[in-house]
Amino acid sequence: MDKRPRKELIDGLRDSLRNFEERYDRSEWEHFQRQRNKRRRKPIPLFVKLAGIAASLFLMVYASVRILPLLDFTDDAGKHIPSEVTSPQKEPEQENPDSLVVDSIAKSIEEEQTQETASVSIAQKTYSSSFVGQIEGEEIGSPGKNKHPKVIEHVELNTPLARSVTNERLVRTWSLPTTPFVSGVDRKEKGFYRWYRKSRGPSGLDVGANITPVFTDKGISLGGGVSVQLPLSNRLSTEVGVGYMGLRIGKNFEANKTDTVSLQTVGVRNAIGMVAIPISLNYAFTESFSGSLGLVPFRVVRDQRTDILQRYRWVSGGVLSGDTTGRLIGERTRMKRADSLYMGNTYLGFIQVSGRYTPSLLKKRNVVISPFIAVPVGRLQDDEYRWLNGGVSIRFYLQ
Amino acid sequence: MEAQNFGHTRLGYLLYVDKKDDDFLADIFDGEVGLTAELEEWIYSRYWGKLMGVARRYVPNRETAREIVNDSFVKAFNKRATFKGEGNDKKAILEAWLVRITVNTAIDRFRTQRTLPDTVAIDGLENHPAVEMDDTLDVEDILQLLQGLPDLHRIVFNLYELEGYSHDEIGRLMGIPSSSSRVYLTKAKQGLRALYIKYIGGRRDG
Repeated sequence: MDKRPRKELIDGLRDSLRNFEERYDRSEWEHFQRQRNKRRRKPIPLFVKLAGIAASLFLMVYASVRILPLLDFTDDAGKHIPSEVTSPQKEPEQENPDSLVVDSIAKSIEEEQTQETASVSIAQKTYSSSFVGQIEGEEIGSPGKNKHPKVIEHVELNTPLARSVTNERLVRTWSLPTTPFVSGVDRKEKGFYRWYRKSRGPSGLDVGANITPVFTDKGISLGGGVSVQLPLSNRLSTEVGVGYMGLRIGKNFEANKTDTVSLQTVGVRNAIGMVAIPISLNYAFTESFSGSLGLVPFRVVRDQRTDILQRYRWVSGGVLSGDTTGRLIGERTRMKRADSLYMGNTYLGFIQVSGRYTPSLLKKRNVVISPFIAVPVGRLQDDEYRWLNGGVSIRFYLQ
Repeated sequence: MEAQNFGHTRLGYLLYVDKKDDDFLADIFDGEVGLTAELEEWIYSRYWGKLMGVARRYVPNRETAREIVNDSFVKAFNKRATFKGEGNDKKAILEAWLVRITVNTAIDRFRTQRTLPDTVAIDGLENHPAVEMDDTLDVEDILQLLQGLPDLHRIVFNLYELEGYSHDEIGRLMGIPSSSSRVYLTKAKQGLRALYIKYIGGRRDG
């Protein structure tokens, strides 16, 4: 028989469960990390959501500004038809095709010393038919009369080409009234620029690239990216892009000068690398100057932490030098390592205000100088580090 | 001078050794030191066992309890700025904060899977005013007893008897009247006694 005193069941359960702990195994931490990483992938990141919203807005604006006016087709066509139809007819060679053919043939005939008969018949037939065989059979008839086979061949081959150019111009006028005709200048453009000019077409999209040095109170970093600008009106335009941006943030701590033994952390710096999707609305005040307001959501893809460590120690000149005055000196070292403080996180980012200036010297190069200031919003606003930053973005546009 | 032997590359560890654990933890949660992966693991290893013990009181399945604990750590790491380590016993304060997160996480999970409270099964049990417990009873046996209770009864029992919540607080937390909380607690105790006599008492008495 068990003689030990027994607790009431509920009190006993309470006491047993209150101090109950499971034994920890390190594999639990690995399991935790796997589970956390898996869950991080599941939800659609804010970054992607914002990109989706930006793309949708961009498409809506694009459609409303560029595509819908093209559907208003009748007016454009009406404007172009008369001028394009009448102008070729007014040209002397088109008004009187016979004279052109006769003249051109005449020179050849003079060389062959046979003039009127052949040239007139050739001219008539050239206008009505395009087959050499027919001409030979019906008009020129017998082999004896056909003294200029080379000349006939020449005229017949050239005539359809002249006609096709005229017809093609008319057809193009009807089908795409806003597309400019291919000019001689365009034919000279080669490579990427030619492709760009063609692909740009009537949309008015300006593709650009930028290099951006960024300053914070803890240092300078560099960023860059590409963007697409879409004019909304004469003064307004919107721009969306993607880029990589670096940022240095951190904090300083007061060192304890009485501690001459241990290394003290006097500063922490985090070098953050981020992929950003800036979206902005631009307003042109003058031809050379415009202002811009935008949002820069981003995802942190690199987080490198540097601890600034300092040790104080007393030194003296030594007995031989005769200087026995004790001096307190501080020695600093830096310790770098990867950090997980911001790594992999997505942030609403910054509200960015910028000015855009195009110096007259750089106008032909399509270079825009854009000083900006970026104010953190959302979670970054209350972060322990100061994310406020500014800089000067140098932007290049293909126009 | 001993500190110099470690060299600057091991400084982080040296500082941690020099500080008391409680101060160090409080520093982390006060935001004085960034929460690195190494420090997260340190906290995780220190409190995992305790939180697992808490979670297993609420959910019968051990794997589900692990998920609850891991979810709780994720919340704690993400919301460390909301923790204020005021008071002398910072370890206890931090532990209480983590336990509270775990309890809330378990209840949240219960809410998402909640059906109508099942009181039928326990109503059929015989009422036993007081039962003595063998103090050699294993914790796993006790957990088995708890798992024999309906979800709502088990949660109310845990919240009242082990976490120290009042019936009003339980009512607010669970979205039920405080009078219902009292009823569920009574039924939980009654059920535990009945289950003990049925499965453990009888076994030990031969």
